[in-house]
Amino acid sequence: MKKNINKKVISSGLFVCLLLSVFSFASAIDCSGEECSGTISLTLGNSAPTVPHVGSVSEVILTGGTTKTIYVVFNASDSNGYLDLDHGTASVTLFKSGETNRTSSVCVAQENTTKQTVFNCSIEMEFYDSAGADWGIDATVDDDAAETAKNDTEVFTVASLDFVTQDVSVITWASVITGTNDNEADNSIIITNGGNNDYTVLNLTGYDATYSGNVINAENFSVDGLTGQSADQTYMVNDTAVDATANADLVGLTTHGAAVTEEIFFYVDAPDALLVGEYVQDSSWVIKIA
Amino acid sequence: MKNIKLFTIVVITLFMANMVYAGFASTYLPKEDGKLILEIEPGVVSDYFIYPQNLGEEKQLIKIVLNDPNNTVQNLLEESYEIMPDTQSDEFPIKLEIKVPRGTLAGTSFPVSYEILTAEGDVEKGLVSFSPIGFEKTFYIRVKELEKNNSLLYWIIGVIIVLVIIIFISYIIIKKKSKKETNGGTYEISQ
Repeated sequence: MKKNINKKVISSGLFVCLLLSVFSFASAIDCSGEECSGTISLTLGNSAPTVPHVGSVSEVILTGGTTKTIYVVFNASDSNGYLDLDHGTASVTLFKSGETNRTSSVCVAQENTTKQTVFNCSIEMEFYDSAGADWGIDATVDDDAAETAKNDTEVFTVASLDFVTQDVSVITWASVITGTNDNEADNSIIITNGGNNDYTVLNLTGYDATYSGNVINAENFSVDGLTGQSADQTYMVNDTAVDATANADLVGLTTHGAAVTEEIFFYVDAPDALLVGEYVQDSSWVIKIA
Repeated sequence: MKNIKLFTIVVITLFMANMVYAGFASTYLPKEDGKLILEIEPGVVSDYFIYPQNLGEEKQLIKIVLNDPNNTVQNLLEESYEIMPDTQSDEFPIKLEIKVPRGTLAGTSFPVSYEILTAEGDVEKGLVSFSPIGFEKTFYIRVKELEKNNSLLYWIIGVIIVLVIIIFISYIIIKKKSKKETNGGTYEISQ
């Protein structure tokens, strides 16, 4: 019995020694003393930025014949901190089907918090950008790893703009020989569509021109879309709106765009036996666009 | 003998409407079959804005001539409006408050048109110095159905359901109690 116990004690001791020798061998390889040296490699993945919020834009009222600056504010967020956002890439594009995109010229970081930057972007819209409630805002920004955040859910409305101008207000014939037809005026009128609407109506209302009891009837005046015409002009009717687009050369302001104009040329058939003098119309002629 | 024809030279000047750099913006309205439609709820005021602009160097005095046969525009417009030079965008809003009576049938349509003219010129004779000259715009007010407020209905249904449940539970409790009293009640037997 005692022999058996001794055997067990000896074998257990041998086993412990064996274990200790193995551990001591292993530790001798990696460690010296109580300090162990090693290399720990920890790789953190880049967190993609997001654009959680784009500020609403109230109805945009464009300005006739020129540009209008729109401001769009959006928040960009990055879990790696706002410094991970590449501020220089912040951009806003205004878009609408069939329209030219309008992209921000500058975006300013107006506020930085730990993980977020608030950008304020300015965009120039043109007077001829179409009216509609379906203009979209696309706000984007990259982070330093060139990952792009985007939010294009916000929409806004562009109001209707009727803005038509004419370059001159007076038409003159410095000298007209009586009894001759198709005398072209010394100047024409150019009307320009400075808004975002299309027009189907271009009416002219003419009046008689008189001097000391002599009359050149409105029916002697005519208009055309081309210079040097001697046929097919559209003739006026006294105090009556005449559809100028009935003339094949006058289209009217049927579209809108960067440079939509219509030039109207004026002609007169001067009757015989008129007194010499300056003839002036009874009332100002009217150009009506609708 | 040679015939000599005498020619007379005349000078003709036609004044067209004065050159101005003016126009106006207005509230966006969607088009249906070429008509501008403003959808409103009966009894509720909707706003429509006109924004005159003046990019010229002289002030413009304009007036708005309203054609509103159904009296849908509730507010009175000024006799004339003075639009100062360099008035752009929405700097000078003119509001039309539009309302149709409560009870007006959905789908009913009312035309409203307005003309923008100079207040200085002789309109009767066509002297109009506001550009677009004598511009007229027409839109149609269309009555839409009032949005049904279903939340009240849901509340009523909810309250009824809760009441029914309470009554049912009360009934069960009372019934059980009375059954218990009938079966397991103690009775005093007087000798």
